[in-house]
Order: sequence, then C-alpha cells, then structure tokens
Amino acid sequence: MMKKTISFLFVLLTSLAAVAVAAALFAIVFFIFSESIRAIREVGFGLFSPNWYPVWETEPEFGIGTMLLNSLILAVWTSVWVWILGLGVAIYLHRYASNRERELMLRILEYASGIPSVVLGLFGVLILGNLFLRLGAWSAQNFLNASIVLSILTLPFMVSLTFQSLEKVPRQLVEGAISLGAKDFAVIQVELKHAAPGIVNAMLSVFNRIFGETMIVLMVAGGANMLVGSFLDPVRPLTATLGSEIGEVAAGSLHYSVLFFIAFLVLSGCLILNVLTNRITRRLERWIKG
Amino acid sequence: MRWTLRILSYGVFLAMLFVLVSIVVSGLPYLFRPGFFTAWPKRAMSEGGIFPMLVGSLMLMGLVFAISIPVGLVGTIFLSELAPRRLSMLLQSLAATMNSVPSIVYGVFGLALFCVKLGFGTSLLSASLALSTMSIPFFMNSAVEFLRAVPKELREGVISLGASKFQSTLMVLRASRNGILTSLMLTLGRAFSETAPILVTGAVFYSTKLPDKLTDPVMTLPTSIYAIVMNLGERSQWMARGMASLMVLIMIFIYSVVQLTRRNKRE
Amino acid sequence: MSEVVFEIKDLYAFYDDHCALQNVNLKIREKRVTAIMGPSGCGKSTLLRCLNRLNDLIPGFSLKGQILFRGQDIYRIRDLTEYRRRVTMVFQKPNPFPMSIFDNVAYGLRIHGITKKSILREKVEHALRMAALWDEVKEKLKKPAVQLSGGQQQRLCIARALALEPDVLLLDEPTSALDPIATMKIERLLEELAQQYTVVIVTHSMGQALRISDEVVFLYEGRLIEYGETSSIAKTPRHEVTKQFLTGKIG
Repeated sequence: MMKKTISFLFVLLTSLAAVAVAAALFAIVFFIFSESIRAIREVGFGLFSPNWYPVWETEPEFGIGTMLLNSLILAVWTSVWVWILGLGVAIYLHRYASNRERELMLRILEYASGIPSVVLGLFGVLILGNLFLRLGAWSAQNFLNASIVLSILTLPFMVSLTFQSLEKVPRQLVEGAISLGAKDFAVIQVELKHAAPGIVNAMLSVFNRIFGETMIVLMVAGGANMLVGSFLDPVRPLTATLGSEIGEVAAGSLHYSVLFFIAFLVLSGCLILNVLTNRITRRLERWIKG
Repeated sequence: MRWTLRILSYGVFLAMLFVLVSIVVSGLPYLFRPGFFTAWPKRAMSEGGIFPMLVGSLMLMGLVFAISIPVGLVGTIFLSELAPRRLSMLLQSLAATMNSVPSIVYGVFGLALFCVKLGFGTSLLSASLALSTMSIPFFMNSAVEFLRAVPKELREGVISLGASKFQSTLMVLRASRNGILTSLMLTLGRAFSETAPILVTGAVFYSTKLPDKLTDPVMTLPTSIYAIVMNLGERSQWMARGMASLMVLIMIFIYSVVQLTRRNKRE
Repeated sequence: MSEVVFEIKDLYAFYDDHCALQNVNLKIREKRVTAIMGPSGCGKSTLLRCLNRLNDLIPGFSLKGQILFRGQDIYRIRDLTEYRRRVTMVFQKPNPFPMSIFDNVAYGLRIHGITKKSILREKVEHALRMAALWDEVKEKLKKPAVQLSGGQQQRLCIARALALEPDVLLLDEPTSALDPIATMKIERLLEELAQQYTVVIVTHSMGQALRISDEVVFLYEGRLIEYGETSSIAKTPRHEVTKQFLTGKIG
C-alpha cells in the first residue's frame, strides 16, 4: 500500500511539473494577447502607421510601422552576415583545422557565447562607439554598431550549431564521395547537404535571436524613430521601445496595451519562425533519412 | 578554399578574442580598488563599490535556483522516464519553443502576471518568478538529453532486480549526474546574464538598502551596468566596466566547469 | 523428474502488430540449465524477457496466453518487485551500475530493505564468491565497477543477481560480448550454479548449449519447434530446421 502511494505521488508530481511548463507557454501567449486587445480595438490599423508619439497629451500616436521595418532590416542584414561568416568558420573548423586550432577556437567561441548581452551593449557603447566617433560618424550609437554587436552575440552560436551538425555527417558518406574521386569542394557540398536540417535550424535560430534581442538594440542602436537610410543612422527597433518604455508606463493605459501588442508581435514572430523551422527541417530530413 | 576560410576563421577568432579581452581588461583594474566588492556606491555611482548589486544578483540567483531546479528536474524526469513517447516529444518541443522565445517577452509576461495581476509589484519575487519561467524549460531541454542518453540496459538491469520505477529513476539520475551538473551550470549562466526580464520586473537603479523582504525591488549587476551606461556620465563608467569585467569572468568560470565535466565524461 | 518452475501455455507475444512469439508451450524444470536457442530474430530474447516481465517496459508490447511460475500466473502478480527478486536477469551487455563494486552487489539487497552493514558485507562476499569473482576484487571493493574488464563486469552482474538469493537466474546471451577466456569462466560458473539454481540461458552458440545445458528449446520465427534433453536432440534432431541449425546452415 505504502509503495503504491509513493509511486502514485511520484508520477503525479513529475507529470504536474512537466504539464506546468506546457501551460506556461499558453499562459504567456494568453496574457500578452489579452493585454494587447485594448490596443487592437482602439488603435486598429493605426498601429502600423509610421508615427510613434505615445506620450503626446492631446493626440498621442501609436504607430509601430517604422520600428517594425527597422527591426526587420536590422535582423535580415545582420543575419546574412552571421550566416556567411558562421558557415565559413564552421566548415574551416570541421574540415581543415588542426586538432589544436579547433579546440582553441571552439573554446574561445564558447566563452564568447557566454558574454551577457548587457555587457556586449556596454562594449558597443563605450568601445565601438568611441571608435565610430573617431572615424567621423555623427552618432556613436547607430545601425552598423548594433549590427556588429548583434553579430558578436550570435556568431558563436551559429558556428557551434553548424559545426555540430557537420560533425554528425557519417564518415562513410564522406569516404564514399572521396572514393569516387570528389574534390574538396564537392565533398563539402555532400556534407552540407547532409547537415542541411541542422544548418537551417541554426540560421533561423540566429534570425530569431537577433529579432528578439533587446538589451543590445536598446543600448547600441541609437533610439531614433526614423527609417534607416544609411549604416550610420541611429535607429530604434521594436524591442528597444518595448524594453525602455514598459517599465515607465501606467499599467492598464493605452500606451501599456500598445507595448503589449509589440510584445505579442515579437512573440508571434518567434512562434511562427519555430513552426517554419520544424517544417523545413522535417522536409529536408526526408532527403536524408528517406 | 582552405586559405580563404582560414583567413576568415582567424579574423572571426581574433575579433572574438578582442571582445573578450577588451571587456575583461578594461574593467579588471577596478576590481582591485579597495572596497569594490564591499562598499555601497556613492555620488551617483562615481565612487564606492558594487556591494548591493552583487548581493542582489546572488539573492536573485538563489531564488531562481530554488524555484527552477526542483521543478525543472522533476519535469525532466517525467519527460525521460515516465511519459509515453508521444507526450514526451510534444512536451519537449514545447519546451524547445519556450527556449527560443526572446527574454523580453518573459519580462513583459512577468510584469503583467506577477507584478500587476498578482500584485507582487516591482520586486525580487516578481523578477525571480519571471526568470524561473524562462529557466525551467531551458534546464529541462538541456537535461533531458543527458537522461535519455543513459543506456536502456541500465534501466532494465535495475528493474530486473526488482527495483521500483522510483528507484530506477534514482539510478538514471546517478548515471547522468555529470550531464545534470552541466545543465545546472548552463542554466545558472543563462539566468545570471539575462537583463531584460529583471529590468522590467524587479530592478531599481538605486536603492539605499538591500531588499529585506521578497516584495522589495532589487539592484543587480546587469541592470546596473545598463543604468550606468545609459544614464550616467563618464565619471561613473568605471563601475560599469568593473561589473562587466566581473560578469565575463564569472561566465568564463561557469563555462570552464562545463568544459571540465565534458572532458571528464569523455575519459 | 524434478519439479516444474515455469509452465508456459499458448503464449503469443506482439510488438505493436508484429507477432514475436506464436503458440509457445513449454515447461522449465527446477535446478537444471535450460538453453533457449535459435537464429537471431527468432524470439528467444522476447521469451526470456517475458519470464521477468521486462517487456512491460517496452511501449506497444502485448501478450496472450499464460506463464505460470510455480503454479501462479505471473501476469497477475501484484508485487512485481518481490517476483523479480526471485527471478532475476543478467543481460547481453554487462551493465554495471555507476557505483562501487561493493555497492553494485549490495544494490539489490538495499532496495529490498536490507541495510544492516554486517549482513550486507556477508551477503556481498558470498555472492562474489559464488560468481567466482571474490579473489579478483576483494582488494578493491570500493573502486568503481566500470573499471573492471568486460568478463569481470559480467560476473559482477551475475553476483548482483545472486546476492538476492533468487530462485531462477535468467541470462540473455551473457557471453556474446566477451572474449573466449572470459566466456569459458562464465560457462564453468554456470555449471556450478545449476546445482543450486534454475538457470535459463539464451544463446545462439550451439557449442555453448551443448557444453552447459541439460535441456534445450529451439525457436524458429517465433514458433517453438523442438525441445527436450540436450544430448538426445543433439544426436537425433527430429525437425529439419534443428538439423540445419546443428550443422551450421542456419546461424
């Protein structure tokens, strides 16, 4: 009897914990959406207008259009760089690097991946920012600066994920290709094809992280609500607005609700990206696993 | 091909090294100032030390661990030992999804639920709950792989001697203890370095006392770095540099432990 | 004729839709070594694992028919832990637990409620002696068990099972992962154990079955095709498949 009770409690407790995690995801979506209903109802399509004057007393405007565009431009531009560089480094580490090189580089990259984003923000403002000023930029915080710091944040992540999926490519496959007389480049093609699901997953995760990153853009991007025209323009992505203003508005106000709408956008972007990643990787895996 | 990639890799490698070194070095001298760890900040953070931020971060980490490790471990056990395969896969993919949700979203969620709805206000409690919401799936996602990697022969061996499910689970935990330690350290690192959720739910930039109850707001290392860099002038920057250097050193320590356990396992 | 320990009646076993055992009827007798033989995939491991109810752990497994252990239907047993103490199992791959040699052998005793140091020490030593391992490990009982060689690990696993003073010892190809010398040691050990225990061993080596077993069971594609005294079957196999197996045409 005693034994039965214990094992019952054991199963109950553990399943509760696991279900709580699942419930938390739904709670997050629910809460954030329900707080943004007011914004959707009262501002409607005006939410996507370019003008953001939330604390203007007579006629506040809650348009996030510019910020959304800035976010997307920044994320796409930075991702492309991170993808290219990360893929290159990963291929080098996987195919050409000596054991010592590989070990050392991976270790340093792992340490770099541990740098807190707020510290990278500080690096961007105090160290890179000064450099930009010395080179003649009119604002120390700008699009390019944010893009560089975001690359530093995500490159280690991109390299290690890509590297891991390249390492998982079975040896026989590579040896098979070589035995057929494939040159270096062709061998890499074979490996990339086999590692494609992992690499695509890494690429989309990188984009997701950049799009959702808050501290860095808050500190380094510059904060001007204008569409980015040149690399040295200060810009303000969505998450920067969210991070800087949510702590200061009155709970329940329209401004508060609009900020939740921004959070809802960021969250749904992430969820959509997740579904997309699963779809794509599953389709790619079909080529490999048959 | 080889040489292009080599140059590119060395470029990236040196850039990363430069970032690491420049952050650590630019703050390192301040760590040795008398009173840096034990004094309160003075004159708009231009003098004194980081005592309250350090203690605040420690308190926060303590609370996050107290909440998320038990829940996370128990949930992980369910995923790997008890749940039917389908359910386990579903829950794991939910946990993975939660892992990719940007941290600011956890902050905003925490604000709505813990600070406003439940009335905890901007406080240590709200911040640790928001951080825990993020850390639990993170821990589960990482630890479940280690539990799954325990060979099924071990489970069967224990069961065949007449052990209960509970006893066989204990054995699985024992066999994967290195992995669990790794997950613990990674979770600690993630929670420690996160800023946005704390900024929104629990931080104050300046306070004259340590929080003495759970519903008091708290000063922490990352939020203070942010506050100094953004709001205070050059005379205070040294303190932010010092804290940044300290945080990076702590993260390097955490990852070194992870690398060590990984190597132990291989041998 | 000695007493019947297991009586298997009309046994069918399924993994999802796949039928792994079909209409198996069999009696296993006390204090004898029964070898279950057949080519790989014939269902011999499934049969052995049914006896310990270890297949319960596999999702999708189901079973029809009856297995009686000393007259009692084992799929009706409430207290499985006590049952598994009496019918213990040793696996193909040595699976020492991640703890010391001593704790490995003591593990089964501890989970069944024996915690007194002096008793544990005595029983562990006894079990290790029975498994012919005592002399090799008595100096290093506190060392991790994974540091032992493969053959030693397997004898440790046997000692771990013996420490529970079981009624039946089930072995699933216990030597297939071992070198010839370690195999020889374990075979010699099994012969000695058969004086006190009922031993059921799965093997696909004809030589091994001839050397150590009293009775042999042949399975082929999930069906029982022949069973009886090892010596008589080896001399005069009745079934075509058994003949082919004995002459090495099927392996």
